[in-house]
Amino acid sequence: MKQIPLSSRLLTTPQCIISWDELTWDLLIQQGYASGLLARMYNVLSTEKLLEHIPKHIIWHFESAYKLYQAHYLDVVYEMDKLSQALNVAGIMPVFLKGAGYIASRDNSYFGRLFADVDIYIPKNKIASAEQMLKWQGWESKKLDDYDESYYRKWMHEIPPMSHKMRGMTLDVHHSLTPLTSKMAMDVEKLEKKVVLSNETGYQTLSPEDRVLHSAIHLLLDSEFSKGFRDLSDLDIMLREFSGKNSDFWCALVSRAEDLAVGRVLYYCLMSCHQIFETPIPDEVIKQIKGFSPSKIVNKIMLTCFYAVLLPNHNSCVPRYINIANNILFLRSHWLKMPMHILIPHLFHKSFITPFTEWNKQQKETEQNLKG
Amino acid sequence: MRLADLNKTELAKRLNHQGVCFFAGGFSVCLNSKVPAIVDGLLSQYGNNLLNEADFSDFHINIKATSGVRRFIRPRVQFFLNGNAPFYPMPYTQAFPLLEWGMNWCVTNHCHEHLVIHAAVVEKNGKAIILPGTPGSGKSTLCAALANTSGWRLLSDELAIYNYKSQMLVPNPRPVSLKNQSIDVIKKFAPSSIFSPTVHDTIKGSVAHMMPSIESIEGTNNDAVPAFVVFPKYIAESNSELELVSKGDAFIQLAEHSFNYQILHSDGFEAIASLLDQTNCYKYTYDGDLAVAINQMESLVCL
Repeated sequence: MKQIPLSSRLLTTPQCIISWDELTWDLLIQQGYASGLLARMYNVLSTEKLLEHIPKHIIWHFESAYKLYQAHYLDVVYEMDKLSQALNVAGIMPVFLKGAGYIASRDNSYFGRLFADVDIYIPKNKIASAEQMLKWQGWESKKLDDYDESYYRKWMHEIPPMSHKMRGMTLDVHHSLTPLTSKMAMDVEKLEKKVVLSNETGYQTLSPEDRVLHSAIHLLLDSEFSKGFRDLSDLDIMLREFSGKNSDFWCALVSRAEDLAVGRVLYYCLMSCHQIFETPIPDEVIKQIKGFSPSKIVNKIMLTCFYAVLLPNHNSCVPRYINIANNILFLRSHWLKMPMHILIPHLFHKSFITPFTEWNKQQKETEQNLKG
Repeated sequence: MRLADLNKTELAKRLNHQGVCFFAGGFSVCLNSKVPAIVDGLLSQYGNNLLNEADFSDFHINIKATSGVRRFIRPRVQFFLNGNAPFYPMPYTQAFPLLEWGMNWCVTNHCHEHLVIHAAVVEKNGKAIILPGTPGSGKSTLCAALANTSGWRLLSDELAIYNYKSQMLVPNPRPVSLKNQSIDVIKKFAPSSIFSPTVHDTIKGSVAHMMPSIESIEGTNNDAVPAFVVFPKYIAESNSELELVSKGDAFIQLAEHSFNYQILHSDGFEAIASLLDQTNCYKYTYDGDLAVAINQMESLVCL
């Protein structure tokens, strides 16, 4: 078994830092910056009362990262509050997804995590009134060209991203959880039936099993993995927390994945968590999910690719074949997201027509600037 | 051991392989680069800086030439921190200014245990003057002139780092960045100072760096007491005069000039408040006559 990266070791067995020398810390801080997880590490060390073992001249890196996390956290909580108020007027209660979802349900996975945007789900029949309501309350849609706009509306699982004109945080409003064209489209109705209301926060999120599956789908069907290690760490934390709280969790997770027809994704997710974070997964669960694995060769290729891209994005971790892995996963992501008759025109547009219109626009702008 | 104790070949070799680890201002940097301008820049500007013998460095930086066909026509360099590139590549000739800007970015983007303000800081008689300023305000010119006047030490030409827990200013003495006309002005004012070669056509125009005095570098670990906030404003053919600014006005300006006021939330508010409790604030219009300006700054710290 390969040794897990230094960053995973700190997150899962924090006592290990007691024996670390300067050189190990030097590497850890570099990995921490590259993966954006210094704040989470600080939180783990603080909970375990191990902060005194961080060398004095190094601790500011953690403290600063933690300050940044706190600022992000307060901003997201404020945004969630404003958002709920705005939608409440129309009698709509959003379901918070991903990062905001972790906050809404008070999962451990929000600790020390930075948030780039807020994601919410609103049933498709209420999208129009929600969008109207948000616009009245100061949210604006980002300007897109006609092609992108219609592409979003026709094929995507979300409306074009919005942001509040005073605060600027991006808001993604979803009406489905995977692109409508995706080969792994999740049945929204099934998800909606299991939505839970948090007693603590009064916000709605997906059920614990669905939170895991949704995050796994997002991570593993995507084509961009620069924050892959962080997202996998979220999953590791969720799996540990949920299985600790509820002894039926593993069983429920596997049968839910089967029910939603995303067993393969769950298989990749659990195997990657186990490889990189040594997430404790019971043997019988491993046996069960192996039923979802693809043929031997594909299995080997996929697990190797995921392993490469989900490690911390730093020289000390990434293997030589990282570019190949990224390319394979990029193609796979597009293949899964869109059938050929949509994908090919889309790629054609993006590689020839978009650059041309951009160039045209630039020319016009320079002309105008010269005139001005 | 100081950086100047390495000869050029040894320095270039280290930059190429294990990296050169040294103290740049208040932070330790481990630098790799194969770009010759970086070797020259380091030798010209960082000779007095101590090498870091420890295994830990705050920032691992690499300045690399970009690959691809383009390098034969218009070669460019890129700044990497921990292997990730936060900026677009820049022309090859601008490697040293890129390193300097990148190191500033490292501080403003990662140092949130202190309030970081876009300002120059100089000190005399145990009293530090913070000079916040927008580009063109004459902040760097004034700072460079003071840094070359005996009795003054440079804390920073760009970043005032205020430790709001100890209520002291943390020095970060690094080469002073001079732009356009002020390069010749300071070369005339302080001909014995050491300047890096001028690089033209950067996004900020022509840029040259000036080495800080050895006293400034040796004072890196001595925090300073903030005594004045002076907002300089260069206006040709004006009267050089200091004018009191209200604390409320100064607060808003400092918040605008700080990089992490919003990240610090309520701590940021408390930080500026405690900084203003210790300082008198002035608006300073000056016509570019450095002798007069130095006298006026001296009169502040000699009271």
